[in-house]
Amino acid sequence: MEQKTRKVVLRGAGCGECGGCYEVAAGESLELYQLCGEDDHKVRVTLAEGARAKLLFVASTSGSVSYDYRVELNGAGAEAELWGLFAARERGVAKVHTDMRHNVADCRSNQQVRGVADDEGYGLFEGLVYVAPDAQRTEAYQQSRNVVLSPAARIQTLPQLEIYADDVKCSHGATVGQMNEEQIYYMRQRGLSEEDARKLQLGGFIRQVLDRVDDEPLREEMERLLFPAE
Amino acid sequence: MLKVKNLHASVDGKEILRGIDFEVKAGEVHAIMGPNGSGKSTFASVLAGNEKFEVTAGEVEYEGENLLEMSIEERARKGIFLGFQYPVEIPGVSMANFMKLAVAERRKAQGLEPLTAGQMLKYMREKAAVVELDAKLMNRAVNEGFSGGEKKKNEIFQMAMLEPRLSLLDETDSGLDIDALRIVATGVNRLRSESNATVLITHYQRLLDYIVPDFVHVLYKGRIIYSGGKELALKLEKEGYDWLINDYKE
Repeated sequence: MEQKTRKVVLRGAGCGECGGCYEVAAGESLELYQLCGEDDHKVRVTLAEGARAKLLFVASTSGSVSYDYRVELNGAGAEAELWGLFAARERGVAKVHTDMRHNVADCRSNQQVRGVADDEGYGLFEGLVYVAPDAQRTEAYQQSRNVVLSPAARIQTLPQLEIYADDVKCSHGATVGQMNEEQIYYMRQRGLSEEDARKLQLGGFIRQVLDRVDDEPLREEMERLLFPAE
Repeated sequence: MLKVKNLHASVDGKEILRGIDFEVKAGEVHAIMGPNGSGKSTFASVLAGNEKFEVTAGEVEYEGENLLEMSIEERARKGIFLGFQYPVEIPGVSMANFMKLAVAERRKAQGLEPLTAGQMLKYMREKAAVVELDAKLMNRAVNEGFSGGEKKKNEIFQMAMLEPRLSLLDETDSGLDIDALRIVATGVNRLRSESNATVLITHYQRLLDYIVPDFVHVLYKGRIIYSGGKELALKLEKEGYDWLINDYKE
């Protein structure tokens, strides 16, 4: 069956208070990319039977930015993947809230959100997976990985699972750490400066999400937002 | 090339190296053997500049310069290579990109022109062939998902890429099956020359069947307590370390 795919790109502060509401009809699919550095943004996505959504956002700020994603899986066989990157620099605050709602049986979801905080930046990830009482055979995964780059930077991660069905496969994981010094040592032993090694490592951390963007100019635009010219 | 005098080093206040004297000249291959926990890996790490260890006394001269004053990357750029016992995985950083940066630094230090993208690609393929490493791995993240054998081959591949003057190979043979061991050893032998030197740190005689050392040293409790020629390794294999350790008075 040929799937009808809609692709949406939401950019900058101009994407407004509401990133929009998207209803994905049975058998259709949505690809939504969002990249913002300021303001609060809400996105609502509803998936019918067999519908698919690939959602990917990048938030990077020295001011304040927040994302609020709610995905309703309303038809059997619906699948949603949510990829995200947030970065807070200087005294910036980046907040991400996700709500993945398995309302019916036989749906799948995967959330992979990564955060970086530098200087005195603050990042917050709150991610909910909700599985309704009838939503049997749900598969839901959520992972939140975060690194803090300076002693004054902070990241909080609050993963939550609310599961009311008994036949489900769900997992979640959350980590907040510093850069891996063993990796830095290894790269320096090959002749890279400490600064280059750290940049490469951070680039690697981010790339694992950005690699999901097939559109190269868009991916580069996201990289520029994450690493503003120094 | 390398002169180590009375080297002492500690980690977390515990002294591991307790007065090492050691000298390597260009063209030589040295093997350092010894029981577990005698300080072999620490010695290699200290030479590479690992900041986990504190040098508390002694001198290390490398090519006429004070090695202990150099940063990790300065040592690497001047031709010191450490083959890691446990090579780390670096997710998200491709082998190709990593090697491009590392080779550029090494060539800059050697006063050589940078390689063009095309030359680099050709150079990588050539060197990968030395250790029979699948060139497809260059597109993967550093060591990520590599098998144990691939990780060790990847160390020798990087050694080939960087053309070091002094290679310190820390337990490069551990965890290798006989085929992988032969490939790794062949790679090391092919890279041997009159102008470079190799220090093999190993538990087993096995590796020394393939890479024949000029000198064999026994490290015990942080000191080199005995040195000999290649026949010493055979004697150690047969008789163990007890005859040396029993003789050794602290």
